[in-house]
Amino acid sequence: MERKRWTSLFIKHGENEAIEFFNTYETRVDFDIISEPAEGLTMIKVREHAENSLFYIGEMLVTETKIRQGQTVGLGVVKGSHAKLSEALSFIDLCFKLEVLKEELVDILAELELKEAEFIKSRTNEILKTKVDFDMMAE
Amino acid sequence: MGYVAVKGGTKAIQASVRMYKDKQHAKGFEIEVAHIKANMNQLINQIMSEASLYDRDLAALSILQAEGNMEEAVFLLRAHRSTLPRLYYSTVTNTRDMFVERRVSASFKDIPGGQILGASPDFTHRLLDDDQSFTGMHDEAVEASYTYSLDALPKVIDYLEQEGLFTKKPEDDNEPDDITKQTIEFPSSRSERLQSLTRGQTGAVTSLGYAEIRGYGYSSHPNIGEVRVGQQPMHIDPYDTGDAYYIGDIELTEVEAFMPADEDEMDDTGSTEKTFKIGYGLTFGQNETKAIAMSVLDYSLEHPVGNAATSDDEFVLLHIDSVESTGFISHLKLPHYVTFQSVLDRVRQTKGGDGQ
Repeated sequence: MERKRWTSLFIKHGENEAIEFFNTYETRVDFDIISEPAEGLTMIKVREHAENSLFYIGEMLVTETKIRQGQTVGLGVVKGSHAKLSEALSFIDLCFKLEVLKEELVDILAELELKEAEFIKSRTNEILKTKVDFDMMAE
Repeated sequence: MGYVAVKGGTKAIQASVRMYKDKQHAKGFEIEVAHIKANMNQLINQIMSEASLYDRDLAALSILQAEGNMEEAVFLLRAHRSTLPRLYYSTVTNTRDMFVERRVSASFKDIPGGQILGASPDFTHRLLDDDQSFTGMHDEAVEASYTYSLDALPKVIDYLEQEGLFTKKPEDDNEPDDITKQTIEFPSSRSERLQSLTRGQTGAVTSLGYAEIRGYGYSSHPNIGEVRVGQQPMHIDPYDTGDAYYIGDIELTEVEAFMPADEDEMDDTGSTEKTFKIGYGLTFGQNETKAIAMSVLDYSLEHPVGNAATSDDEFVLLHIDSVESTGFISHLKLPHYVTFQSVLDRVRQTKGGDGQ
């Protein structure tokens, strides 16, 4: 699974699952902490659609954690002030890179995909209730 | 007249700070950051946009500390921002990937994906209502055949382009300038203008956008092609491998305003034809009025008209910043004893006095 996909599933729908995974398996994988969870900024680069150029809209607060095993670095970055989630994400990133605990992660992510599908369906329905029906207006 | 440095305000200042803290919150009615975050969404959106820092918790804290004073809250948030390290730059964010929660067009009735009103105060009575209880959503039937995905909704400018009424420019991947790293210089670059407009004070941006339409610039009524509000996924790719990390969603408001181009464009056959151009607005949070005004000013600065004030980038960009303008205006109340004495001396001398 692409990193973009699994980070999205954990951050949007599986904060508790990520933290629980970390708490359960942190002793099963040796790692050193490069940097404890700390807050910083990410500058956001945007493509505008008038001239198709790039500009910076502003920054967002993020929490970052870095761990490593040998030369392999696990990175956890998440919007806002979320030390526990950032720490858990860095551990999961390291696991993916080292290809350990893969089956356990795949099982969790399969559950989160179902959770996401349900969420999107529900949210879409809620939003589409506000879609204008011009046919009805012409009746 | 001689100048003597003086001191002695320390005790008075300490007492003033204590009095301010006492006055800040009425005893027994204190609220918490969570209350502001849960109930003052629009205020949080404005503060984040003007502070140029996206974080709802910090924005709520700044509002509480500033007693709801917007300029003070923006100042606090900008100051906090300056204490934090910039760790990353996002990958290029494209609003075509936005999960749309509201999307309306004032130019076309039938747009692909439909007019989605989302959450908006536009359709409510502007009368004070003392019943502010939460009502929740009603269960209503939803069109079963809706074939669009809200995270890939077509843009209205695509429709204009298909009609041959708008020519999309090739992607310009030049690195943008960053006004938080380097002071803006004039004439400004497009990226400096957009960064400056998006963090401009909401009232100032709106006022100048209004002035532009009223005749102090391009003076034409823009047609809003699209206003979209939604959740924009953010990514970083620190190792530049193409295997990016998702780091969270942020709420954005985007406006594309259609402006009939003053000049004709030449097509492939060499004949000229009238086309449209776009004024662009994009803000943190749901800030629709500001985003619309930004699109008006973007067009005005990109296509300047004579000596119009709203076509003057130095005039617009240097005066819309909340921290700069409120900082300068409010500094006027601070002691200016020496400078005023100097003015006083000159006035007295013209009246024949000795300046003492």
